[in-house]
Amino acid sequence: MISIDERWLQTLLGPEALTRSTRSASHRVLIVVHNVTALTRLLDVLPAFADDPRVRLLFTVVDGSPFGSGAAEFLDDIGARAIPWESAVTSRFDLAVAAGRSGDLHRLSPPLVVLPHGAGYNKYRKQETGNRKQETGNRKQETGNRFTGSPTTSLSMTGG
Amino acid sequence: MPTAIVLSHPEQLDRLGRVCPQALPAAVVAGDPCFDRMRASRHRRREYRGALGVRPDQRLVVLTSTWGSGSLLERALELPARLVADLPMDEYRVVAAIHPNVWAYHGALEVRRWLAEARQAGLLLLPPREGWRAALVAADLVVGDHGSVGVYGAALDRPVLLAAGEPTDLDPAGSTARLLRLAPALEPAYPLRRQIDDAIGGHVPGRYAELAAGTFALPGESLTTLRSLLYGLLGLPEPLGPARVASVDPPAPDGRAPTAMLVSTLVSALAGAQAGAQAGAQTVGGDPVVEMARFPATADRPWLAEPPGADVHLAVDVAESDLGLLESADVLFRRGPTVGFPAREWTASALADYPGCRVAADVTTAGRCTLRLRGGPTMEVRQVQQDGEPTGWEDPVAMEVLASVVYAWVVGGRPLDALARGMDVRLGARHIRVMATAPRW
Repeated sequence: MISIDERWLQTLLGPEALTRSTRSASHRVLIVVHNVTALTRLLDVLPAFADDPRVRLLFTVVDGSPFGSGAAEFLDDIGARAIPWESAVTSRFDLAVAAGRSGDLHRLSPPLVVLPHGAGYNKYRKQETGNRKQETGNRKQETGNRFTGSPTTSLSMTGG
Repeated sequence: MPTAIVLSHPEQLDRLGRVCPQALPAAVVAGDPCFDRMRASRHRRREYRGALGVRPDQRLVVLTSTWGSGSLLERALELPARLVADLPMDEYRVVAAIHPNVWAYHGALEVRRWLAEARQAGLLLLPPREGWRAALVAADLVVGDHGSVGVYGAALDRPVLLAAGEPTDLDPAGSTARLLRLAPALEPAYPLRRQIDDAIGGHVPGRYAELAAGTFALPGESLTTLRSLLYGLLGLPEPLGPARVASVDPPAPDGRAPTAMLVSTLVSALAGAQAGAQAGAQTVGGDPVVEMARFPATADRPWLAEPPGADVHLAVDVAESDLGLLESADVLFRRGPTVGFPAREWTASALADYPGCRVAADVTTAGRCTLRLRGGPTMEVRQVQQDGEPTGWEDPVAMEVLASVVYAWVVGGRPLDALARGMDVRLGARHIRVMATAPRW
């Protein structure tokens, strides 16, 4: 869970960014982090952007990720500029990249690339049934559904 | 629905198609950037082993646990301590890689608490974020479960033993389920060392080649493929120059040398070498040979396998926190200097403080061991080359080994002056030569 001062958020993402930033990039990429394992995998992928100044990287931690606790600390330690999930969902990005599928990824509007974070795909994930749109904003219920109801089985991104 | 679902191998297309056919158009096979980095790190194996304190003649066991039920830590929490206690510490190193979700859920304090005894006995613990990949590159064997680390180890052609693993929630076609079917089990009911040696010695290279080839497509090409995908979606031309796959950083484990150890020694007799012949030892150039194996002294160690005729003594660092172990020590040593106490004074005070101790040794200076015998002289012992010349910086044994050599020698009532002529020591596969100065009374 990323918490951030609202004023600072405006500076980062609002019109003020034009005057406060040192370099303005033409494209914004959101790195969507589920947990520490997922972040290590995403860090294997980020060299794809190398030192490309056209791209600005911002990070967020998916709300309600069961093992998300270490991820925010990890981002902080490596100097990644992280924004809260709600801001990530409402801000404009050109691309989002995640290494996991749980949580409300469907709320993200840019093109989304999802990678596995284990050795391929291994675990069955019990997935909530029904209309995902209905579950928007009702995360508690969604995670609850992973253990109850009549789950369908799907490929999961968890590798263990 | 994601715009692109990255798969590491086209095999996953079939599985995706079965469970979610509408996702198939989004699937992109792009290999595995993590495995590519490990492959690009293989040339640094020696460096990684060095960072883990593994000498060329030592074997490195990587112990790994995933999270949740069926994991090694859930099924076999006692295994880490048993493993380090059963393996002679001069011949093996064991390093643990625990899944970040375990750290995230339980907290570092709990993880360390579970592994406290094992860590006291010399288990190295990798931090949750990084280090496991370098450790796999450095490894001689992986002991694991149904986590992905075992698959990566197998894909690097390391022998794997399974100490746990729960296939219930696994897709049978996935790589971890396949590893559970392919790799042999580590049987807790049988001696561990033998199983580990057999797994390493009996490993057939390429044993897991099919598993690797069926899990990680496009070897070496993952980052290039992903870059094309990402820039394509951004609508930007790719940067000039190739995408570079970086090797991983050397591991930075948490751990320290055990402060108490059980030392098994077998001294071949000077004349006739009868005892040595019985135990398979041979004298070199007529000098005595001390065969030695050191094991961490853990709290509840029930037994110590020893060859017939061997003597077992307890060697303890004065920094040991367990007073009982200090008071039971046959050999006491200090690794760090004590202000105001040069070696001669310190050894005298240690013998006075601990009446059960027979040898006190100062090992604060690399290359030499200054020791004092109870009721006897002080002497300085060094590791030397076979011709008696001083050894260089290369590959020294732990200096407290020298104190145990002297203890093994004098405990049988053998004459001190023989030590000054030099003797051979076997520490597992290593043969070293040791020489003492003339005793000073």
